[in-house]
Amino acid sequence: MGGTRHEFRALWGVYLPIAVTVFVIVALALGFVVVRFRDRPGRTASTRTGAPRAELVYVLAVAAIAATLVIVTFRTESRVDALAASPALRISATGSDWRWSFYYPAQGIDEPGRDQAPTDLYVPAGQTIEFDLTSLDVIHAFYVPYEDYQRAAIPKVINRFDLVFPKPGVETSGYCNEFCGIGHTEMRFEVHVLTPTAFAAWVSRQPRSGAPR
Amino acid sequence: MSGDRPGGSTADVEGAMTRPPDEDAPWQPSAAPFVFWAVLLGGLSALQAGFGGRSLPVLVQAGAAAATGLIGIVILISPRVIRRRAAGLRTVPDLSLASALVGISLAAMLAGASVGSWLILGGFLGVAAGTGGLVREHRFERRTRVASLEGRSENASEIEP
Amino acid sequence: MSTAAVSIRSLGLVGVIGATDHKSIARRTVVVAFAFFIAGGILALLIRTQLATPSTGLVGADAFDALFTMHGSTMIYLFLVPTAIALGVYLVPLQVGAAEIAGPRLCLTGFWLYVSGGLVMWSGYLTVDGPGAAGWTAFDPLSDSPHSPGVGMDFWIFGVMLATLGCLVMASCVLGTIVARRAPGMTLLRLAPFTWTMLVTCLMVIVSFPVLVIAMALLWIQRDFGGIFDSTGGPIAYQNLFWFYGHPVVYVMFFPFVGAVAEVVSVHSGRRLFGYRPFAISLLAFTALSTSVWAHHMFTTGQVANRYFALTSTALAVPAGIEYFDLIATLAGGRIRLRTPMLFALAFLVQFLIGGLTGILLGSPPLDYDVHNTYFVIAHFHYALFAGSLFGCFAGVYHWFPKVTGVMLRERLGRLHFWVMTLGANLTFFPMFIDGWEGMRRRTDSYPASAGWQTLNDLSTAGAGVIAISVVVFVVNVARSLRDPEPAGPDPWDGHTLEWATSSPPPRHNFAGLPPVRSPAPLLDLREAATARSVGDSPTPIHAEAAG
Repeated sequence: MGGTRHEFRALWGVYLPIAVTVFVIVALALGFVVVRFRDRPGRTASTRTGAPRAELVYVLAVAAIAATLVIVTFRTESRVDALAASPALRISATGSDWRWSFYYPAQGIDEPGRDQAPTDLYVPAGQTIEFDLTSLDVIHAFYVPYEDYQRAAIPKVINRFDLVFPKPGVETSGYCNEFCGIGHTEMRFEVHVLTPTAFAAWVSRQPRSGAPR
Repeated sequence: MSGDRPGGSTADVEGAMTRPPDEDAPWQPSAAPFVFWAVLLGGLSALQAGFGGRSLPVLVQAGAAAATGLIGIVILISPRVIRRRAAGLRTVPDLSLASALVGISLAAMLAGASVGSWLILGGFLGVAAGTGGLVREHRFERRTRVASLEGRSENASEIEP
Repeated sequence: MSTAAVSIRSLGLVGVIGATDHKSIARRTVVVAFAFFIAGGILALLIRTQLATPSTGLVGADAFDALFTMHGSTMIYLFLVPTAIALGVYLVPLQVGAAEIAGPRLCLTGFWLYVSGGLVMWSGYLTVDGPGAAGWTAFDPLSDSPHSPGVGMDFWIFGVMLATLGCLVMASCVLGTIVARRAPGMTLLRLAPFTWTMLVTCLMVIVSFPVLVIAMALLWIQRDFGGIFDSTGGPIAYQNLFWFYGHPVVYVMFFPFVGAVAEVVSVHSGRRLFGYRPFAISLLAFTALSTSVWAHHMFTTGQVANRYFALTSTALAVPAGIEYFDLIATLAGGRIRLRTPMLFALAFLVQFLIGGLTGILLGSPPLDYDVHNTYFVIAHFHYALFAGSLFGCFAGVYHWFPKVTGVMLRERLGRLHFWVMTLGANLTFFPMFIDGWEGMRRRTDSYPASAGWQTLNDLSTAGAGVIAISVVVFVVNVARSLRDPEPAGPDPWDGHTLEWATSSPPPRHNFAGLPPVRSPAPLLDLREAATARSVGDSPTPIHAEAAG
């Protein structure tokens, strides 16, 4: 799995040029038509009312572009939404009004978060991490702009997704991205991406906890 | 403001306007859009099911297909319901305070669910009064139409069709 | 042909309440909707002021939550949807050659349901806990009583139900008129382009609006008694019901205005709409598709069939492409008159395209996973609804104002309005694409100073001020034009469709007589036939004195 960052940028790199090209063609066509066919004395308007064959060719071209986009999207989505059979690490992420808490079940580490401050999320670089995401109250969303990825945290539902953080040494922010009331803006977490060695050292320094609080 | 393009002559237009209605295209009920929609929506909901759509979203979409299909069927099998009357008049009101009262009172009844039962009661009275008013308006309209057909009323205005 | 023999007496206040003339109902709806537009716009200015610096603190967090909730709710439920339907209430009976709308009393009841709904929703501001503040979407469990206590939220729910019911009722009358009140000879494939768009709009309304009313009723029951959305799948069930309405509604706020643009484009370039038949049929396909894409708003929940909705959402490009083809092909080969209606129509075509293309982008789940709920989405839908639909609305306003009032709107003020509004719209909403791409979230009352977004936000805030100025220009234009009127006559634009075959404004029963209907452009047919016959005659105006 190349990582959500890579997949997003690759797909964006297909969609955006196509969108810009379509826009430029239509805008130029409009500009040309408006200038060329402006009302002038002596002009008569064309009485042609249709061009079925040209329109059909055009429709097929648009459909072909749309089909291409769908195929590229499906392929990317398969990779992004893939779930590894045995991920290197599992983290339970829970949103509640208005903080994030993380629990590492295999290591028995609990990061319950603090009031008025973002929760710390320590992760190893280059390894597939399974997140099990839920909420204790309303719908929140786990959003890491650096990873170009978010998923909804729904009460009574566990949403599972896999993330890979490609490079160590990254310090980046995560946010709640589903409006959840008065504390929504400040509901954040800080992601610390460590080398696998540093991560193992961090794990050994943490107090053990039997279950998340 | 016709610009420099020669327009039709007044006589032509007035002649066109006073000719009897054009009957070369017989009037048909318009079920086609509803049937088209029902088929398309039905197909799309089947497609969603094929993609593993869950029951609620598939059912809602299929329900929309069924609803439009039903309307289309109703239009197709009962053209008499919506065919224009061959002769006679259709009367329309100029004013219907009763309709306004019904609308506002329904809103009051709904708001009363959170404000208090006094508002529900008041709204209900308004709906009742408004309904009574609507009945009166309909009766008056019928009397006027009958009187107009019999040539007795000068107040009625005729509209065609 | 019978002629109407009615003395039009001014009905006064009683008429404001109870007049059943569809033209009067439509005018009253537009006036009320415009008042809500101003109110919603003021809320937008407050939002933009708050966001002009990273943490302005102009209003507290809960007040801000109410601000964006009421801004979105007012603009959608109380302004743009009713305006779109009112345009149909006014024009459809005229365009199909009917004397009155089908079910005028029902239409009037619908109007009062809508007005009541707006008042009930806004009366939330008079309550202790304030108005609804759970977003215009009011997702459960956020909108449930523990998380949104207070009667203001209940008033929001009732307001939405009533306004939506009112619009549903009015749209049913429009649909009934198209089905049952067309003039002799007017088959479906001879409907005016605008009436075609109203036909498909009303189809969407009747399948989707009842679902919202039901969802709101269920939400109210959940708040007061519980037990509706409490199960595991409850919140997602709410979203499915909500968005089954919530997606078609944005097309309800689009199609009538693309119909207005089609009319403006054809009349103001002197040509019939090019490709009328593909245009009409693709409208049916477009709207059926648009009732099948709603869960693209739910891609990040992981609880819907993402692939299906990605497929249908992307497929929308095909009928949209047909419409663009036909509109541009109508302009090509025409005699284009660049008056204000045409300016707004052209801007609509360019700006809506930005909204539409970014919509295709959002229809791809992996892309949506990044930009969902960011300012990218806000930019997308404001381009579609403001820079798109509202510009199409103004194209229609400048085009049909003479018909409704008998008076021309000033051309110079119209151009000023156009250029200022175009500048304001782009200045406000384009920077939001960049903000959103960089991760600025929506529905937040502040943003990190370190993110470097302040300049972009300041551009948007300045743009909002420019938009406000353009609205003032428009109001001044209307006021001046009415106070110092320049009479329009029955057909100032050389129109094609039946509404131009009667006086401006039309008499109570719309027509004294009808020309024969053999195509979607009956007046153009008459003009061309007369030209063919009377080549060499001196030109005369097509209309004599006002008919009726």
